[in-house]
Amino acid sequence: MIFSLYIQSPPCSATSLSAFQFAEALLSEGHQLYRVFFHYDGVYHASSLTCPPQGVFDLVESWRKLQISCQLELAVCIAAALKRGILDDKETARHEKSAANLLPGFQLSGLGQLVDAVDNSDRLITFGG
Amino acid sequence: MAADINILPGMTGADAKKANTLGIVLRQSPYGASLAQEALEVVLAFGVYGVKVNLVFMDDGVFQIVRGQDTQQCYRKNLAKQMAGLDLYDIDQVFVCQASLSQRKLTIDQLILRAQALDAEELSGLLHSQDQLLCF
Amino acid sequence: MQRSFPGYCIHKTNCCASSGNRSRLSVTCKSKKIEIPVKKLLHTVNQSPFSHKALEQCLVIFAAGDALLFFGDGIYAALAGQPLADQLKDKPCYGIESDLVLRGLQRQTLIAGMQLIDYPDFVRLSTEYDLVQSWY
Repeated sequence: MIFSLYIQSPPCSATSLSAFQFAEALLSEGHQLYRVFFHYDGVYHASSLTCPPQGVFDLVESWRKLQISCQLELAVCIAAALKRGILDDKETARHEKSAANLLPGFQLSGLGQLVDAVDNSDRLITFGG
Repeated sequence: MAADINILPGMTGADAKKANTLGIVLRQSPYGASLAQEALEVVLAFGVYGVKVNLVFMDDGVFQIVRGQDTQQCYRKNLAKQMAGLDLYDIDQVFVCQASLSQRKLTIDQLILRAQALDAEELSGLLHSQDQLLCF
Repeated sequence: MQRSFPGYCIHKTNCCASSGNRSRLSVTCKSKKIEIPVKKLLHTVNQSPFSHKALEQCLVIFAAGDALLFFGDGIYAALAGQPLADQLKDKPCYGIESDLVLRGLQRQTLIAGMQLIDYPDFVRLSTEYDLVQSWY
């Protein structure tokens, strides 16, 4: 089956860890992960500046590694990201900010990518709260 | 009469293979956090792309469409005013949970949108017949 | 039985006659006939029933054929003493075992019939139900 995940919870929350565990499980069960769409506080997964405490599972880094190994599409809602200070080089220049912080492997995109994910997936699972 | 039934494109009394109805349930209060505003942006995105949206307000979400919201002193975008423009995006199937209204001592005429009040059975039936569901 | 089907019939005058079963309804409204697919939902809840209304609202929508899956703080719903335990007695309920163990609840009395599962089981369940509806 084709899955997409819609993640609204921030990386420090238990819900986000569950989302990652679900993603790992669906991939190991042989399903396809079409897109992971990060929205609301979920956009914080795309920050290159997070510094989790030692001994705690690094969810951001784990998504980055999973993106590389499985060629995942990690889409980040651009409006939600800008509001929360997650910028790529283009937006950094446009808004005349001092530095970009979008983690490689993540892409800023519009809500059209969520619409597309709903349209092209057999299952859309939302992780929020 | 043809306009009376909400027959989806491709439905002629048999199934549409991909009818693309999307039920969106809004349960959040309007200004406590920004989820209600960002959920509205999702609703509008689906409307722009021509997805047939059935919008449901329940729980504290019914507060999103209460008439008379005044954001002047709080520097926030007026959510109710944005909601009032939903039909411009062809989002005109709006439903509200009757029990959620009653619990909050609200009536349908206090709402800024023309919404159909549904009881629990009708609400459940509506959501169980959608092709996809999103809940905020 | 005459009723109206919101999302399909806009009359709201109990004008629709329906027949069918749990998976599909045939609805005739003012001589127009349509088929309404009735989906089976897997409801996920990740908030505690002691402090949040997510489970209560979920149960408003829950229908025969659906199932409940608890993860995160939602696993507190697995406890036999939680306020909505009686309403879960006859419903298929699943809980993520690692969330129960994390919270030190593995020796507590759970709701009869609560099935403890892992994430591959969660994935499998999401394929067995038509839609996954998240409550938070």
